[in-house]
Amino acid sequence: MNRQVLSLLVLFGGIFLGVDVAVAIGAAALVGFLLLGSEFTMLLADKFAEGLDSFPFLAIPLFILAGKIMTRGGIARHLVQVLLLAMGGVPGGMGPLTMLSTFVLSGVCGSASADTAAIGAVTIPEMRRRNYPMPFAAAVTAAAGATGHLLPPSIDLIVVGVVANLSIGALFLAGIIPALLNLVSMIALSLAIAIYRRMPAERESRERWKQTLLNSLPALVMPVIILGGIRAGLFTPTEAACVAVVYGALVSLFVYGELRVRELPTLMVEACQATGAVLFVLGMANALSFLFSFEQVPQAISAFIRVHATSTFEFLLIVNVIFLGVGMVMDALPALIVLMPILVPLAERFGLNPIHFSVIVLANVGLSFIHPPAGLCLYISAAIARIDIWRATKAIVPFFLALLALLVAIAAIPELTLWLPRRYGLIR
Amino acid sequence: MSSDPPTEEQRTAPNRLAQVSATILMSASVLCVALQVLSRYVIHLQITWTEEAARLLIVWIAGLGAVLSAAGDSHFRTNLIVSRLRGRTRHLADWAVTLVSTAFCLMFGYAGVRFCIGLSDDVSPILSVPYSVPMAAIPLCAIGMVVFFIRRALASQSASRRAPEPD
Repeated sequence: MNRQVLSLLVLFGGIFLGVDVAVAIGAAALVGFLLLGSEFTMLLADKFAEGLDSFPFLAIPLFILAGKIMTRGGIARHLVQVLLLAMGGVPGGMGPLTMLSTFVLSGVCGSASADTAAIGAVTIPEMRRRNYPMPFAAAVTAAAGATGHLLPPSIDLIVVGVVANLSIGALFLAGIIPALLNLVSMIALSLAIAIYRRMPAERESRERWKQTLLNSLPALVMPVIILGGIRAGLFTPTEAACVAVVYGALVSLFVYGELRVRELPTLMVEACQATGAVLFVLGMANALSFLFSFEQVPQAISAFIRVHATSTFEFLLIVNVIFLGVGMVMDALPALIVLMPILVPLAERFGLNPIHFSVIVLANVGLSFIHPPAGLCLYISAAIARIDIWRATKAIVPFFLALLALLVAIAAIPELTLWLPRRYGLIR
Repeated sequence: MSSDPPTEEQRTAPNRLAQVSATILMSASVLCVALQVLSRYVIHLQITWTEEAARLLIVWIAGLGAVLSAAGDSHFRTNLIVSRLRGRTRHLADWAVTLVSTAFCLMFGYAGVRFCIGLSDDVSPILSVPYSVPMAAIPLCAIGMVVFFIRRALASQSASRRAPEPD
């Protein structure tokens, strides 16, 4: 049995046995290095460290910390209040509210399943209190989890930018229109279902509007600072993450007064823990990528895809089937880390812009969060709603089909992703 | 929830050590990047060492974060098959996972020690920090993860002894 096959057996055997994905990836690399000779084992540590030696990666712990400060310090709550008011007069307004909340707040914790758990824990009980059908609540929450990772400053965009050597600023801008399209279609769909099922609408007074907007102004400034700072060329994504941490902490401590200084260390520990799960995979995946490059696995995959894909359409079909399959059994981030450095150069050979290709893959990854047998967001929201997974699956079918149609549109119309980065001169 | 009081598990010495270290590392990384932004826009002076310091810190953040994730059982994992197992088969699978993870971490730690020794003469270009200092995070992270993998397996076994066997 050759080295590549044994490494792959260790990788998939470990993952299916229930070993941590990072450990399975690292063990696969280690077996490959050991078979080359015991003196090569040091490469595991060498390539692990090399995989992390990137300033943009510091954006990951900092954005995660900013997200935790926003949640704990009241900024997230104020943003949700504005959204709640905006959706108050709409039938079934809690559905779009869940979508918008997830959309605004998700993507910064490195795991769509964690986002769904955090937001679903608030919105699903509220929907139960307002007598919404629980399969609808679970479906809306899971579908929301599948949209946010395309919106900057999503960790998925940062990771793909670093591992595939693409401009993170360009990826941030490229994700905006597809993310908005996903959001609009999800909201339209949930509204249509709400109107069909005659769900309730609650109106708020003009005074309440004014007061809420005024209270929420410091919170509303935060996304402007992050995206505006990067777009205007004032900050790199890592610096924008740091500014978000400092601004978020100042607003939470001194404006809203909902965060105490002694709580900051706890949030830092939580951010470090969430970062560790992501970066440990990244480092191990770099070691495995090195081994695969040494063994010419990318060339073998390229040859396989070139034999079976004679057109760009067929190439995209194969890639999408691979990611849908991977997404059925595990969180997509490790798969992105291992596969994107191999697939992006191949996509360029098929005439695809690498930024466009990356957004297509990420849109596909969104689908994998909600489709059975292991759509993690769907499982989590069904668990919070305390309903059978099949009832949740039936309810999510329209959302899944809408996201699938949008994936096709994003793939077929490159300008949906490339117009904004071109407009701001980040790509040619 | 972040404001919840710490559990008994979180109060243990290895956990406290990891938590204090994480706070220091995260504060240092925020400080480095904030200083970089402030120096550019407030005192109009380009500080060159902040980016290097941040890059040296990230290996420690990754290593310590991995240990905290092992302690909190929050590494990415798929339980599609293992979650369907029951009784003795489940215990065997859990121990197999612990064995594989522990063996891997010991080898990873050994590779980290050899890597650090190999780097003992190299220093970073601006701060002149020996590269073995940031890379020492690798063997320490491996040891920390082994401690928590074994603790997790022991805790899971004692919990399953207390719980009645499912029908």
